[in-house]
Amino acid sequence: MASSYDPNRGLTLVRNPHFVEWSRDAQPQTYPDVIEYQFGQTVEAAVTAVENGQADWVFDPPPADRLNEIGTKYADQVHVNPLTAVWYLTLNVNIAPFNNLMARQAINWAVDRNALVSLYGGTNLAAPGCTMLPPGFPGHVDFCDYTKGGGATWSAPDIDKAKSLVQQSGTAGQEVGIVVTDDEVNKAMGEYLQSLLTEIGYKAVLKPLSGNIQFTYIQNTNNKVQLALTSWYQDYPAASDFLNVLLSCASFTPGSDSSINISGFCDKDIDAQMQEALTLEQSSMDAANRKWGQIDQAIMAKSPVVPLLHPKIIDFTSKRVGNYKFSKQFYMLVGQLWVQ
Amino acid sequence: MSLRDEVSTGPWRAAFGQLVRSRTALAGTAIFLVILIGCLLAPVYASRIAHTNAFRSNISGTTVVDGATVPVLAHSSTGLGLGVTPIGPTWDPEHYFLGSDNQGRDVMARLLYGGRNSLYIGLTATLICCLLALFIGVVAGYFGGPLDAVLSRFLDVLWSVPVYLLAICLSVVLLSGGLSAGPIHLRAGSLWVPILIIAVVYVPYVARPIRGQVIALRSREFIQAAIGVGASDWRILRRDVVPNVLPTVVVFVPLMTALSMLTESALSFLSVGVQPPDASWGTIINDGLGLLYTRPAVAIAPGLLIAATTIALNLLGDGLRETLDPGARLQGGA
Repeated sequence: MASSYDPNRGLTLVRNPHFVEWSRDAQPQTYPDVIEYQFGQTVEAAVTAVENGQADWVFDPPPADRLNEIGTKYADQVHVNPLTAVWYLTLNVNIAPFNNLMARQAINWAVDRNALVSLYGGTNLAAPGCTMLPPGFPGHVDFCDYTKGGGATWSAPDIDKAKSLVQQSGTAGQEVGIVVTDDEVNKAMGEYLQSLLTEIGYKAVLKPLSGNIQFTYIQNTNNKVQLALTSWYQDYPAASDFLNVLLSCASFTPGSDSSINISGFCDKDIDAQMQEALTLEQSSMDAANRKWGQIDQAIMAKSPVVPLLHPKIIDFTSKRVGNYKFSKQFYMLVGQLWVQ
Repeated sequence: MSLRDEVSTGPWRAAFGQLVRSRTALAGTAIFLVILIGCLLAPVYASRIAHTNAFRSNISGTTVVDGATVPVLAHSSTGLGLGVTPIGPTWDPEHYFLGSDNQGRDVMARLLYGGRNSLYIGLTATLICCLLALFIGVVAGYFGGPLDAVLSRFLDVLWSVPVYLLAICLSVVLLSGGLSAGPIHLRAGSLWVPILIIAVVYVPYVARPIRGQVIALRSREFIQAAIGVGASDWRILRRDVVPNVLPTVVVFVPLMTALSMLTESALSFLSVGVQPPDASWGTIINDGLGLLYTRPAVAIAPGLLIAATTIALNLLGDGLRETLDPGARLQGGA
């Protein structure tokens, strides 16, 4: 329970004296008596504090130029775990140029997922993506419609094909705004995308926005966002949390800051299949998951989104921290850590 | 040279003669010209020597170091294999002389292109600022009365807002939607956005001393005589007032250029100046911020160039002040 909170300084959690462990699997008793969160430091300073034993964990991802250092000098304090998440581009299917299927497919063919994995932190921190459902997630099927030479997994971009599709679509030369958040990784990805879109024939303009407003800004159709970089992390382990939530007609609310179907994609046939899958979930999860796998493929054929990568998470803990436990649902279990 | 000789050769020629005898001013000019010429040759360096595109990402690209082909961005192969590090300085002009940034772009080529933009913005903003300031300062100082009161209060209000705060506010507004006012249409990412912002925010800095000088000039005998014989205001301004305040403006030019460049770099560093994929020294420092631990050269190199250019322009400005400002000459005993 919280014993003190100052939005500028920190949060202190202390053991709830009234808590009784009723199920170790569901909610185990915690080890720490006190958990102190300190706000306001830069990530660089926070990483240094953990290295020096002045703090026990960093909330934010370590900055790119510190990854090699902590992965070599402090390897035994680093915990890397795959996440059920996807970083993806949204292509607004209701305004030019991405109201054209070929223009949308061109972006899917053009994007070098390996380049984006590099910008995220390297191959040990992310995997190239072809599907909205993350690998290992219920309903996930290995397929890749947009990789050079074909195959079930992504291998390389096909820039020539992308250029050809842009020309065929008649959208070459049009201006495309790319909306990203202004943190280091997202901005770097935005710069790469700007360079790529320029290469395949568009006039690309990068629009970095504060992370505080970007997510709601890109959802509102009044802002006429053509292309945005965003991500989705599971709320619960079901395919519907990705496909139904992100790409169904019901999730598209024009003019609202809360329209999570950012592409504005609404396909009646695919929507009907989603309803069918949701119904199937009540009788057979296996059958439902097979259906969700087919829906994932059907969506990618229409190309309203460009799956980029599936990230992993780094937890950097101090030398005195032990009993590190990770849950795909709750991530690092802070309450299960102990310190010497 | 005697004072009589200087007068006989004309004030501007005499000033030039004195300027070329100033070693510090000459050193400043030489440094500035070297940097300027280097930056102007950016396309030659990029296309003929480094064979690179300074504005295109090259994340999956390779280059040659000591005869071996290596990736421009190397994935870590030690420990847990975390992180990707751009290639560092190779000191080979043909292959990433100063290394690469996180987009795999040649830092040296971007430094030169960035310098073009920084210098272009600095010089153009200064010229616009000085012209606006000259107009406002001369009109306010010469006509006085309500016109002076209005213009002076406008300058006071503009100057009362912290320069960087005002510049950042204007940048944020103009960078989101560009500028469309009558016949003027600027797209959001245009270089003219930082140029106009910097030019406007520094107008009071130049206009107020000019106004003061014009007020002093207006009571001088030669101006009063011109008014007495019925010369028009336009003629007095053109023939008597402006030529006498022009040396002040000329002294301001190098100093203001340095100040404009610093402001541009600060705005670009804060992402509200030059927009990608264009580069300026400020944006390159911003790019290098995320590489400080692994590739500090990316941030240090443009910082050194900004410092060198600013010092050079200040040396030149001091030299001009000593030669064109009679007060300074008397105090300095030159």
